[in-house]
Amino acid sequence: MILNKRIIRELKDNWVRYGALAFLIIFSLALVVSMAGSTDVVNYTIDKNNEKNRLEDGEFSVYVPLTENQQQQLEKLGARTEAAFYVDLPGPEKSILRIFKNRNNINTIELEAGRLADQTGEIVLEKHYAENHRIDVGESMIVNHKSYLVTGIATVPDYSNVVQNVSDVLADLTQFSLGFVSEAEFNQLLAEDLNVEYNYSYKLDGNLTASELKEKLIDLDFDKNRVANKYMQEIINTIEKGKNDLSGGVNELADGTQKLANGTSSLEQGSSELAAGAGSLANGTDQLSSGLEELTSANVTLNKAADDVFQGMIAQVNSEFEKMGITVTVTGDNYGTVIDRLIKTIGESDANAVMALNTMKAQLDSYKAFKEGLSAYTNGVESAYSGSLELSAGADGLYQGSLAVASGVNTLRNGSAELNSGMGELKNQVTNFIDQNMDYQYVNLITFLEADDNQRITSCKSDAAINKNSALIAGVIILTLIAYMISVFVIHTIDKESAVIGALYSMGYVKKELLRHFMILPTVIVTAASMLGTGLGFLLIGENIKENVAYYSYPGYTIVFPPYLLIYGILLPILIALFVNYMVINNKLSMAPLKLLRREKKQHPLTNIDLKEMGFINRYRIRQLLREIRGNITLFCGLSIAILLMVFGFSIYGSVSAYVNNVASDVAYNYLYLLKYPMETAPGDATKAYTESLTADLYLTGGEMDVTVQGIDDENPYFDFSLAGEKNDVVISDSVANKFGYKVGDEITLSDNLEDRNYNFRVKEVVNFASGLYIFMDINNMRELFGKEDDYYNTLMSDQELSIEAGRIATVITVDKMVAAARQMFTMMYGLVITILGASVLLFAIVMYLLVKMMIDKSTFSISLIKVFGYNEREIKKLYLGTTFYTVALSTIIAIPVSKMIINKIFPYMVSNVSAGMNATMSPQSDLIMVAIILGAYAAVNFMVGRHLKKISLVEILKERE
Amino acid sequence: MFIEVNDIKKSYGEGGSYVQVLKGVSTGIQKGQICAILGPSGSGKSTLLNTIGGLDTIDSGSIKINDIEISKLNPKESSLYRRNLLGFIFQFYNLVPNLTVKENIQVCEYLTKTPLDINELMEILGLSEHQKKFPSQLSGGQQQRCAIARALIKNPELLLCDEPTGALDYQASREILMLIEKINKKYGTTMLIVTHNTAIKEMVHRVIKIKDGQISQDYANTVLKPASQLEW
Ligand SMILES: Nc1ncnc2c1ncn2[C@@H]1O[C@H](COP(=O)(O)OP(=O)(O)OP(=O)(O)O)[C@@H](O)[C@H]1O
Ligand SMILES: [Mg+2]
Repeated sequence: MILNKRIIRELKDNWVRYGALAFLIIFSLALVVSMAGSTDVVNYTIDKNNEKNRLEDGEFSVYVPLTENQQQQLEKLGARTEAAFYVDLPGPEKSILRIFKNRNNINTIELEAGRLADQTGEIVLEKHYAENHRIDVGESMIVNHKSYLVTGIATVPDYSNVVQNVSDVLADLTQFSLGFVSEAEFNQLLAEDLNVEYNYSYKLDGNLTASELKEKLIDLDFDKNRVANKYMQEIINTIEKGKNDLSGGVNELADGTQKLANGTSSLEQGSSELAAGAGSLANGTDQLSSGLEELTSANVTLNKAADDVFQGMIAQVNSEFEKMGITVTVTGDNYGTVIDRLIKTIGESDANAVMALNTMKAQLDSYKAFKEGLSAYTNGVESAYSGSLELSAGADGLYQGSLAVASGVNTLRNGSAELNSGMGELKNQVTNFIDQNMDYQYVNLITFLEADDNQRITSCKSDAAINKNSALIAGVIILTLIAYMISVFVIHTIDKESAVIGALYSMGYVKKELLRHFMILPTVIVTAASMLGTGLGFLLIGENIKENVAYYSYPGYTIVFPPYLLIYGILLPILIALFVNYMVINNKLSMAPLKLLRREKKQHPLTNIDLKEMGFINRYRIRQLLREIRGNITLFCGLSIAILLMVFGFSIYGSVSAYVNNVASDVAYNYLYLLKYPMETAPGDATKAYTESLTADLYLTGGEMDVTVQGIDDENPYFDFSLAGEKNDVVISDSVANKFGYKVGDEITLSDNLEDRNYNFRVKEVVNFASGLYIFMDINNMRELFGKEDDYYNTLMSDQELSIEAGRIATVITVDKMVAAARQMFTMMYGLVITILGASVLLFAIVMYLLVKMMIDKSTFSISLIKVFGYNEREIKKLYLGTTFYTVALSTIIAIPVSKMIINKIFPYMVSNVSAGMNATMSPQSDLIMVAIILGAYAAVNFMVGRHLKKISLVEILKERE
Repeated sequence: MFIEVNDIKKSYGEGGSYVQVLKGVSTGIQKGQICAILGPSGSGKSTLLNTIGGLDTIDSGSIKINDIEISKLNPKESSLYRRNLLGFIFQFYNLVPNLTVKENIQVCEYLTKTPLDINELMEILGLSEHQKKFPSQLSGGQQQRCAIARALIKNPELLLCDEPTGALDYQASREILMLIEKINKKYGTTMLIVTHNTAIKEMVHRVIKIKDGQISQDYANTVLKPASQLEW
């Protein structure tokens, strides 16, 4: 079609406009695609690697290695396990290398270079470590005073975040990493080093769940004597001793009773042969005395043990009451009345509770009876003993008292028989009691960690997720902007072509032909630009994930082209262009051709407003503004979207940097030690605290997130808020408040998933504490709540480093490390933040330029006209650009606060995977900077459009008619 | 009758700005005739021409071309009617600015299967030497000739001209009129010419005068004066 010849010329004549639009599309799409694509590439690479190298479903560690038999047993149940024992050995430059043997089935080694170590004296290194220490394949290195030949460089899927402890916040890829040696080499190491972690990886085949596996592991038998960990051995010894004491007492008691029975029966014999055998009586009384003596000596232990048990039951009842929310305290003496009163108060209203209370009372009663029986019995033994002494002493007056003796012996015999038969019962009961209540079943399992909870495995992907969220939000804003700009552009272009379309239409061109013709240029531009932009985006992915690749340990990435990105990047803009073109042209062609020829437009009623009172320039300006009301609304909307993007850019920048700063300023201690095995006496210069990890529901994601509950006392020097209040009052950090949306006065529920228990708290106060997700409560209330002794602690805070045996420590958190971790997160986001920020500024300028230029283009005719009338440039600029200033100012005033509101709403979703509660903050300077940017962009655009105004020729008016 | 106009009425605006432009116009024009429409400014000449051309709607009455009621055509049929039957010469040329003279003509050549010879047409209209120029590089008369060539290239049965000589000088106007005469003779094209030039009425078959939206005079010339002899 000959008409299409005009397309190239149209493009040439308006290349700035088309170029700006194309640039806008290319730039925006490159941004969106590279940001979103980066995450996909990371995720894809990791997923693929995890599958290829058979990532574990989880891992666990034990005190004593599983036997072959046990492993087979587990496999039969549906859990395949593989030993991943390790030792941490000193490597070069004070680094620590965690040495594993080669893996066969789970978490297999992905070689990046070289080969696996298959001889002794060979080692394969984790890739970042090798890189940081500049060690290549073929070189040798010293680990623990022994020289190794490096045969390969590799990664493993279970250590993509190479941290020493699972709870470490930050990996230091020079200080700590992994090495893999042959099985033979590893066995040699085991022989010399005792500090082995018996770690296992597992994979489930679907017949067994992780918690079932955990149950199985807890139940597995093992040889207690082989526990190598000395702290655990200490605990075992203490418990065993207590158990032995109690059962020893009972055994003594039984022995004594047996002797008593023997004595009694001898006594009986003796008394029946009273006359004949005074000597045998004397014998009998002796035996009796010694039996009773033995018996008496066991009395104290026995009574004490029984009383302890009873007090334990009372304590149990009290804690049960507390759980039920009943605020009474029972003692051994008052429980009967108290429970009766409770039953009366509850009455018929809760039959279950009454039943429970009754059962509780009956149990206490029966045990009390048992206890009292025991005490009566021991009293009996005591008096029998003193009686027997008397008996012995009175042997001389035997004859006189023989009648009394006979009857006394008879009674004694009866009592003794009863006692003996009762004894068996007692012994059974005590043994049962020990079995059931004092059965410290030693569990071999030390840790159990599912892959989903293992930040060595998950943190790379969840890190990428924030970036993805930001990318998607920025992407949505940018795509909206593009869609908007394409629409405005198309509408404007078609408007300008109105007369041509009208002429062609009146000459008999049909709609289809015109549609086709006028859609070619915008479609081609948008298609080319979106393809270029998307292509460029994919090329930029490498740059985007540089930080991620440098920090996490995973194999080289492969670029993937996710279909949704191709749809968003290429198809969507084209469809928008096609659709808008179609709608606009179609709408145009539904007008009578004559109207098109005359460029008739619907005049806004406001256009006719009476402005008599005003000065001419103002009047003209306002008329121009009203006449261009559509153009100005268009400008307003476009700028608002661009400002939204800018506010988003400033917000993530502001929030992340505020987070880093707050972490440093909120934490007052320098060292925080979480202890696995707290020592009996804590170092004097440290402050004790009690820390538990619970989970809270996160409504944002519908999932859960770990929070740390920390019990501190009011004297704690590192916190300046008071914890006094009700038992379940807690003080939460602003981080927690932001993340979970808690407010002062809220009742919150946290759960302990391992124990399957819920705890309720009431929020008393919100305090500034940026690092992590902390909830603080009074340490005594917390001990009580979690059933710990009055002086329990597991956390030490200190200004200086403490000398604590390494084996006791679970984690050490230093403020430096926390800040470094926050910085690391910042670094990882930095590129993205800067990109979004820069892009938003640039996009803002382009959008403003395009929109203002379009408005001026529309007025070319009248500008030419008033030039002819003799207006000078300054006046013309005032007339035609003055109006845009009001619009720019208005968009700034309205869009900035509105955008902030929108971003504040979106932001929590963006950081929903981060276990820190950031909210969207912008420094006050940011507002100024944004206004400056807007004004700057306005000035630049003003200048450029001003130059264009100058170029509008006087003869424009002679050639065309409006 | 080739063109039958029957009591057409046309108004613009509403309320205060309501104007009735055509107040019941009826006439008929035979095939192959040239008809001049004269009248004072604002009398409704262009409006009449545009309604006949299907560019504008009417309030009532009927317009039949070749027995087809064109006021009842939908937009698509209307544009097909224009495509197949009509040539338009606008008062303000309406050339496509970023196409050359030749290309502007070709735009309409495309619309028919039986176009005239484009080079011959450009030769007749004196456009050959300007064929590579863009409209902005042409004088008003040259632009008008280009617009005429564009209208004629598809050899339409009916040519509608709104002040074809309005922007031209005496000499140029006469050339255009001679051309129109020639085309009419050669191809038997029916022509409606709206004009202020009263001299034209001597060279046409029919003269219709419009005053205030109504036909004030309507007659046929028995003797036609050749365009070359017109003087004004
Ligand atoms: N779109 C319109 N809206 C309102 N009024 C219109 C419109 N088009 C034309 N008119 C009015 O209709 C009347 C006739 O206009 P028209 O263009 O037909 O006159 P004309 O006879 O061609 O005049 P001229 O010789 O000056 O071209 C005029 O009074 C004009 O103001
Ligand atoms: Mg007219």
